[in-house]
Amino acid sequence: MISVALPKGRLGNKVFDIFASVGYDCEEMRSDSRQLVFTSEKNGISYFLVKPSDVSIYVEHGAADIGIAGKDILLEYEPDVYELLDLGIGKCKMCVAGKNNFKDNPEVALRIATKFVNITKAYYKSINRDIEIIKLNGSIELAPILGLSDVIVDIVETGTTLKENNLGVLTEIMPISARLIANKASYKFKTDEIRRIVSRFGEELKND
Amino acid sequence: MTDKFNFLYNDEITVLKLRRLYENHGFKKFRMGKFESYDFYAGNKDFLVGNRIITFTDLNGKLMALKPDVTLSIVKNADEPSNGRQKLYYTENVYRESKDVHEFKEIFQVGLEVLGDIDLFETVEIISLAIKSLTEIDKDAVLEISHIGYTEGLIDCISSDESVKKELHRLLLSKNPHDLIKLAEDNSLPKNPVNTAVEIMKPVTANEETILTAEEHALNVKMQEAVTEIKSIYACLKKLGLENHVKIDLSAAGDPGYYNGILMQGYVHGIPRNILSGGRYDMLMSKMGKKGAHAMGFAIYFDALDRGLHKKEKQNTDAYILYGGDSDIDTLISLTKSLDGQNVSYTAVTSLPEGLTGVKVYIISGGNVKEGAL
Repeated sequence: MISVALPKGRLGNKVFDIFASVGYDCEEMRSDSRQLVFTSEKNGISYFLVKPSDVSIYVEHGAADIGIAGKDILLEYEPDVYELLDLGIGKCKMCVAGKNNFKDNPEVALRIATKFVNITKAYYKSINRDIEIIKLNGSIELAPILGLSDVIVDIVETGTTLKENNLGVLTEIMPISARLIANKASYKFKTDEIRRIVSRFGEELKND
Repeated sequence: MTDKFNFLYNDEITVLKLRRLYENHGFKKFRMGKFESYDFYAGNKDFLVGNRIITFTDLNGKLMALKPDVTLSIVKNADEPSNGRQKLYYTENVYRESKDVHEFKEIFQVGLEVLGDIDLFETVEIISLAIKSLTEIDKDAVLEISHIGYTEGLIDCISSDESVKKELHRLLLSKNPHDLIKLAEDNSLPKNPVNTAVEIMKPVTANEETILTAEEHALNVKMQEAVTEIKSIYACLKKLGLENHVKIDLSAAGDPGYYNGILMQGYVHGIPRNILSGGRYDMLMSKMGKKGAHAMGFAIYFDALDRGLHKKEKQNTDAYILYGGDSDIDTLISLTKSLDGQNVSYTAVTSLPEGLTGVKVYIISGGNVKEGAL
């Protein structure tokens, strides 16, 4: 039996459809129940849906053998897990964004609002820019509008929210997509099952 | 373990079994002090897991540290291994920062170190002891074996840029072929060794297959030597009948730092991370002025095992003695003396706790003892 932590929401649903199409369907998942864990004894798999940023925690601590997590989360929290496959879905970009007319003044530290403190630190360290980080947990786009920060570092999918608020992408830091991750101990004890899932997933994604 | 010791917790029993195992193989117990001068660790930070150390000022104003590591102390305090080897084991607490909770943690460790002359036999002995230690905890435990020489040799073929090398180590450790291929494309890294890196990351069930792939993809002497060593070790482990507990994975050797040859990580069912870690660390010996001497060892971290092992076969007290103000003290004392003789566990109480089942009860009224059961 393999346990899978899926991120709640659109991405999780899409990934479950792929699981189902490669032989890991689970009837319970399709029912309208209030269950938290869905198991298919027949296919040897159980699923549970968690907050996307928590997937890597469930996997690292062994509550799930494998999981689907965004690269942003993996870079930010650096969980001690294996990253076995790039699913190439849930694509977006980690960007520096700010007011369209923003001009950087290199004489002062750049004030940045973000959820992704570690990614931000690493990026600005790589370009030797002095910064001041303001950690926010949501509505990051508000920060430059209200003058809380000069710019923000956040995930941009379509850029519509930015545009509607007279903001724009200033720099693209890196592309982000969903990754299949595995717990290190589970990988040792369930090598065959995990290998089968990874190879079936890889094939299916190639066909797409 | 005889019934006499059935009050012991499983983790305590495991420690005793491990001690017997190591003593049977000629290891001597090493006892270390709790404190060490801070300068000693400041000068050897590369060899420590994590950078944080608990420090305090001693009465003479000297900055001291609570020990974050045992190996450093063993290497420092062990006698100069003039010829032959020194075999030591320990059961000690160390103090380290916990990544999870960002706090200091007291971690109980059991481990062993061999200092001096380490040949194939000794390497196999240490690895087999690592496996036997793990199987004392879980009969289906797995020891992952890798080799720093192989990964270093491979990475040397790919790039000489330190930042790329660091990234390559990280990607190998997380078995991440997709980002490795992207890194290779972005930095125009040579195709052949990059393919090798991708190949050795693939999950394989049979060790023979892993060794064969590693052999086929060995690109320089360093890699060849590493495969040859792994191959001979594996052959010996097979003769010992331990091969089912071994997983050879040549992508599993991370940033060398501490180690320079064989690297081991042990896993047991029910614990999400490795509980055993160890390997060959000749470089530490040279750094400590013991040039030319080899060293190899491993440690088992009991903090991760706490939830799994901290229970005992015998949960309850055998008997309760209920006494009161009217009870005769001589009767009470002679009853406890007789129970001591029978090796019965008892608690003398003035009122019985609620919800007792499966225990004997002795009620002392005046000079009389009434026996019953709940």
